Amino acid sequence: MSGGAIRGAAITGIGIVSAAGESPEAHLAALRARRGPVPDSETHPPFAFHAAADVDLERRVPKRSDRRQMEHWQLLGVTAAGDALEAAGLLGDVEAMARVELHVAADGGGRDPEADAAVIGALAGMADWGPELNARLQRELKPSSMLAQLPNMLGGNIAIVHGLGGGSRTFMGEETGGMQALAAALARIEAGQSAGLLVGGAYNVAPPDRILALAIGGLLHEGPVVPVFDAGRRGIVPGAMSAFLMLEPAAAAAARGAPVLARLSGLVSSWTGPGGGSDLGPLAAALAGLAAGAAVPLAISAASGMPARSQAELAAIRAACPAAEIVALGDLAGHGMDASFPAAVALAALAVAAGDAPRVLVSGGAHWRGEAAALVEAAA
Amino acid sequence: MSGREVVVTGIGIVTALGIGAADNWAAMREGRSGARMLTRFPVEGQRTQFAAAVPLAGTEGQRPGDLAEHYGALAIEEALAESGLGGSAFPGPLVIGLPPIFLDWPDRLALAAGAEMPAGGDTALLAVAGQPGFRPLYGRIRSHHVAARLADRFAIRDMPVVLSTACSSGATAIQTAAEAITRGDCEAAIAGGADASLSPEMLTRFSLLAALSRRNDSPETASRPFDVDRDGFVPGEGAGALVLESRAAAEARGARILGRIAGWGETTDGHHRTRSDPSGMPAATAMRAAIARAGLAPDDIDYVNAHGTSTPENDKMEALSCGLVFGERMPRLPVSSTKSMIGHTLSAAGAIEAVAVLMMLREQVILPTINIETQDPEIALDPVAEGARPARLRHVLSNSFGFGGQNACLVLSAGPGNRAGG
Repeated sequence: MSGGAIRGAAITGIGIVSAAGESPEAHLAALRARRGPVPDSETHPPFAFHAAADVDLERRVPKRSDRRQMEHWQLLGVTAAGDALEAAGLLGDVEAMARVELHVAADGGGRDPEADAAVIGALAGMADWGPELNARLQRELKPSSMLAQLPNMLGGNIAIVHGLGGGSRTFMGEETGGMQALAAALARIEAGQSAGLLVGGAYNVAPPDRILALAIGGLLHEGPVVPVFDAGRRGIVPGAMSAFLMLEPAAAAAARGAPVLARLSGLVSSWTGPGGGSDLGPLAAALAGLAAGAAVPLAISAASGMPARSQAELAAIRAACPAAEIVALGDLAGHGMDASFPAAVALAALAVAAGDAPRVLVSGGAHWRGEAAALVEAAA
Repeated sequence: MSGREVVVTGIGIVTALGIGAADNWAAMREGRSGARMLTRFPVEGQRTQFAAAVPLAGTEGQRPGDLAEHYGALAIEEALAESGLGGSAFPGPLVIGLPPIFLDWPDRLALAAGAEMPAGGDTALLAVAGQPGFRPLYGRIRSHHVAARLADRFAIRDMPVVLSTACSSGATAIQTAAEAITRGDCEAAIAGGADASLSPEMLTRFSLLAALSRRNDSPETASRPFDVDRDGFVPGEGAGALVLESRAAAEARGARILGRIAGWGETTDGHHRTRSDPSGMPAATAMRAAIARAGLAPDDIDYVNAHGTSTPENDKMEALSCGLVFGERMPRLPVSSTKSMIGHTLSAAGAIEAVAVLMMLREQVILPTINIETQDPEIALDPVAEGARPARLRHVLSNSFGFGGQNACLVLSAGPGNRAGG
């Protein structure tokens, strides 16, 4: 970045829903309490997960016809996006909304479990199931389900329900999608390539295809749940969540008199070498660089709970800001995959906006490869 | 908007018409169709039983993710070789459009074979999913997997960026990479798209949305954009890759410049999940933004490479939106759809079509829209139906649209080395 470029972006709106609640206020309370709800260990033993809190979906998606077209992860996303847009004073401003751009992190999913079960039941044990698969799929799949599972259709639904008209880009790649969505958003705003961007992600673990994917990967923690950074932690406790942030150039926010909740001052991502592994040297360097210069009393981590990488991340955070208290998002609401890094940044911004901390360091290591560090500070 | 110029120094392409720019150019120039009856998997019982599939041997039984990676690798390899940047660590990120990836039916049924009560569906499969024998399947359902493997293969040190904006993914990837170069974040990037979604479920899903052609008796003439009897798109697959560089970096190393990514624009409809805004305005706004970003006026555009899917809806709406931008020129404006030959390659389409445009700029020839018997009287444009046409091409608009109201438009311009360039 050239020396004259504007640094950072103003955060003018926050929306967040998860097991910890359906409002920014509920999440600030969970962050202050340093604890979240007890995960569900009954539905899919020996695995545990956090379903989203009961969200009043009609609040942001009043039309039943819209709700019917969406899977729950999309509904969570449209809700959090609406909250962020309203906080920023943009929701309902038709002219302004026509220019708002969108970065979404999502991998989609949320297949219809009944349809899949019917197909599996019909085909299990058949030797030559090819033609029968075609017949069963035609019979069982619903036209709307494809759209409800498409990653970019969260952006599409945000555009339809909230009247957003700027470009919409969906980033895939589990946790790295959330990192990329935010990194690209900040870079575009700093370079004058966007005048206002809604950025976030959504993930729902409750549909069986989602938790099945993590189980196939051998990624889930089994047995009694212990904290993310506990030595006994063995994997991911997934959590449904969505978080969105409205980012604007500080001058643009000031020009329209928008409230600036906090400032996203910097974001640095890194890419683990082939094979994954727990060498988080680049993340450690990024965290240290962002934390340098002033005291950081609080760090929020989106660590996945995968033991080696999470422990390495903890060490990197401690090295960067020895005096900071470290809170794991996973202990408040579970691991939100695509949504986890935006949600951690949202929590940091809530803490800063409430005056709980002047600077919050955010760290996120993906369960496989890829990391990011961000700094959220009080608006100047 | 200021910023550095973004040029293209290498292209790679994989489609139903073959592997590589040379084979694709020869086939497209002749106006050949790559659509055939599908043999990769049983299609009995499907309403659409043909596709524009990549003609590689041994694809039977391969999963969409593995094939997308294979096609992507072939396209990137070709683009890197042409650019002269291959062989060592690449100085920038991979930005690639890819489709969403889910557990495929053969793998789901392999899990079911070990489950006690398979009729319980995915919940019942959870009981056996943790068996180590199934662990390798995770690579097939991890969204970051294909891009990560491609990044490793080409020694890319940055985190790969995966974009999924349905049928505009490839164009969005090019725009995202071009912006990064313009900002000075990197001197180069590999931008592209890869898609190999052809599968029983994909055919079923698009059929349920009434999006596919049903001309099972004549696959080669099924994709007929702008024809009055068009009845849906022909599913395709493949990959396109572009090596993008700042003009300064490319010139400093004496690279041959194939063209420029001169402009880009994107909007979202916000009207309907699968249908376009009936006013045509959001798509027109994206086209205008791309042309303005290139520092041009609509009259400077010599040719439009259409999204042109051959669905009744898309082609009508695209012509309407173009009309808002180009006005009285419309009936005479050359607008063709390469999808008439290679089908709709979905997440790869924007990248493949950008590669096709760069070949057109290089050869100064407009590729045709094939299969038009009777041009839709409601669509006023010059579809280049008679065959490939020599023309002076300086600036080309390439359109991509997707479900969810995605509109992404690129302006590609001739490079200094082109006959029409400057």
